[in-house]
Amino acid sequence: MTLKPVLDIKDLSISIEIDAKYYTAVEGVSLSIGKGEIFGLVGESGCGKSLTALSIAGLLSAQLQISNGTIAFEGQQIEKLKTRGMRRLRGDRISMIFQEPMTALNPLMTVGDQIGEMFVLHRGMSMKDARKKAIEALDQVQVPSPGRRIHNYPHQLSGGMRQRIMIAIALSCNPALLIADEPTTALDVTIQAEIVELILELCKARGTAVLMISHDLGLVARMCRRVAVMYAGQIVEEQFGSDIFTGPCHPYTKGLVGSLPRLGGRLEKGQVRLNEISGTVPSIFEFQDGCRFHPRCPDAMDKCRHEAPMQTKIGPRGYVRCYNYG
Amino acid sequence: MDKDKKGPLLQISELAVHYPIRNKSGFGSRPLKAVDGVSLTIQAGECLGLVGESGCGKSTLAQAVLGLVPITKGTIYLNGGDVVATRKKNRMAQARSVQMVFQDPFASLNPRQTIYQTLSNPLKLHGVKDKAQRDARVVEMLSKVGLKPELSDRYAHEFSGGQRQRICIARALILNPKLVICDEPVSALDVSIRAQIINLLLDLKDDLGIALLMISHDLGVVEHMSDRIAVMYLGHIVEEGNWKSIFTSPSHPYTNALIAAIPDPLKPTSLETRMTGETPSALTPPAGCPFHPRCKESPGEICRKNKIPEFVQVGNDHQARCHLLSQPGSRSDI
Repeated sequence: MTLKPVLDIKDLSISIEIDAKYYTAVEGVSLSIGKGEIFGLVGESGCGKSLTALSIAGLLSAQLQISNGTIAFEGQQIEKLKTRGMRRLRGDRISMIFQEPMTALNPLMTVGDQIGEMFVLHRGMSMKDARKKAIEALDQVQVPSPGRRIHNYPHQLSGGMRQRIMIAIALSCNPALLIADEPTTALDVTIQAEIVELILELCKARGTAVLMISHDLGLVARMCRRVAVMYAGQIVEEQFGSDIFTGPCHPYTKGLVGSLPRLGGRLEKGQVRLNEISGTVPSIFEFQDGCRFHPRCPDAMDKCRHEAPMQTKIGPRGYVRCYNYG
Repeated sequence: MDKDKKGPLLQISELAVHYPIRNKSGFGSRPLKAVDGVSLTIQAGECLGLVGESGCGKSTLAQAVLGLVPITKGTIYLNGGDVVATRKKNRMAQARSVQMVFQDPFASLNPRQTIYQTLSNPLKLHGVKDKAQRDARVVEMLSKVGLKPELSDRYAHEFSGGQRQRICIARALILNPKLVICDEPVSALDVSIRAQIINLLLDLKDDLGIALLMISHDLGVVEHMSDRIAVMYLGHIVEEGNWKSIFTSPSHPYTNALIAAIPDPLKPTSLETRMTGETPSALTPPAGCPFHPRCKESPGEICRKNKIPEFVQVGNDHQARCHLLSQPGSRSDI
C-alpha cells in the first residue's frame, strides 16, 4: 500500500528520569499508519506501548521525554510542538480512548456537556448547537434515547455505556487518527467485541486511522490490518493481521501465540501442555545488552547476548528483530 | 447426606444468597438476588469451570462455599459436612478442606510478612507445633509451586506477579485442602506468564488430587482446564455439563453468545449469535427468563412471561435451562 501515512514515527526513543538517572523505556520504535488504516500494537504491561501512544498525543508526563526520533502527523513534525499547538491538534485531529472510562470522564459534568465541549473548543460552536451535535454523536455510538442520556452523569451509566461516551467524544471532531489504548480491557468479554466493532465501524465511515493498543493478541490479530508486537521497549515484529497468529516469527511472538489457550484448541488437540515462556518480563532497570528477549529465548545464540539484532524483512511488509532470520 | 457414603466432594443444592439493599426512601429493603437456586456438584479431583459476566454471582457463589457470606436458602455440603454448621462450630476444620486463590496477587499477600511467615503461619494456627516439620512443609510447598526455597525470607513486593501468584497457590495448598477455589487466577497476570500458572494449577491438580473450582470469564482458559463447566447468568446456572459436550454443542443461547464473543483471529465470528446489550442489574432482573432481552434465538411469549424453566437434559452429562429447549414450539416466528 502506498497511501500517504497519517502518522509516521521514526526511531522514537523515550527516556524516563528516576533519581537523576535516565533509563530508556522505549527505544527505536518506527511505525507508520496510512489513512484509515487499523494498526495494532500488542505487548505486555511495561513494554512501552502506552508510552508510545502518549507521546503521539503529547501527553508524556514531566519526567518522561522524547530523547530521539521524530513523530510526523499529517506531514507535520509534532514531537517538538509546544503545549498550545498540541492542544489544537489533540481532540481535533488526534484523539484518544483510554482503558478506564470512569477515570477518563469528568464525574462532575454531564456527558452531554463533555461531548459538547469538543464542538465548542474545536469548532467554536455555541453551547446550544453543541448540545444538538452531542445528541447526534450519542446516537452514532448507539446509545439509546440520546436526548435523555445527555443529562446523565458518568456514574449513572454502565461500563459499556461510558466507553461509548468516550468514543463519542473521541470521534466528535472527525480526527485523522484515533489512539485506542486498551479500550476494552475494563469491560466484560461480551461487551468487548461490540465496542471494538463499533470503534472500527465508525472509524471506517470517517476514514479515521486507528492505533489499537492491547495485550490481547487474539483481538488485535482479528481486528487490525497490521500488527506490531512490542517487547521491553522495542518493536520485535510487525506483520499483516492474522499472519502474526498463523506465522509468528520472533521467538517472543511464537511463545505468546503458543501460550494462549485458544478457544476450541482442546477439542482439536486435546489437553496439551501450554507452551510456557520462562522467566518474567524485565523492568526498564533490567534491560540487558544484546537482544532484550535473550534471557527468556529458547533459541538464543551467543551473538544474541552481545549485539542487538536489526530489523530483517519478512514477507511483503513485515519485519522481525531476530538473528534467527536473515 | 449420608456421611459414610462416598458422595461428591462439594454438593450445593438450591443455594440462594440474597443481599438486602436499602430502598432509596430509607425505609425497608429489597433483596438483591446474587445467587438464586443454584445446584452444583464437584467430585474429588475434578475441575469445574464457572463462567459468566461480571455481576452474575460467580464470586458470591465462591464466597458462600467458603462460608464468607450468609446463605439465604439451600445447603452446601463439603466433604459430607454442612458448610454453615461447620463454620459455626469449627472454622479451622473448614479452612483445612477449602481454600482460595484470588485474582490479584498484588492485593492478596500481606506486605509485612515474609513468604516464610505467610506459608508457615497457617500451619502454626492449625496445630503443627514442631518447627522443623513446618519448615520442611514450607520448603516442600515452595518447590512444588516452582519457587526456590531460599527465597522464603523475602517479602511479597520482591516478587513479580507470576511469582506472587505461585506464592498464593502455595499458601492455599499448604493445609492440604480438598478443594481450591480459583477466582480469575490469571487475569491479573501478564500474558506470557499466564501459561505458567495454568500449567502449574493443572499439574498440582493431578499430583495432589485436589478439586478446583475455576472461576473465569476467559472461555479459552476454562475450556483448557475444566472437566465440567457451569455457565452462570444473573444468579442462575443456565447450562452445565461435561466440558466437551458444552463446547461441541452449546445449547443455551447465552453459552452460544459467550463463545461467539471471543475474537478468534483465524475464524471470522458470525454476527448472528453475537449478543447485544449489557447484563441487566440483578436488583431489577427482567421478568420471565432473565436472558430474554439479549437472546438472539427469537424468544417467544413464554420467555417473556414464565420464569426460567427447570433443567432439560440435552445430552449425556449435559443440561440446560431454556424455554426454547423445554418447549421447542415456543419460539416466536420471525
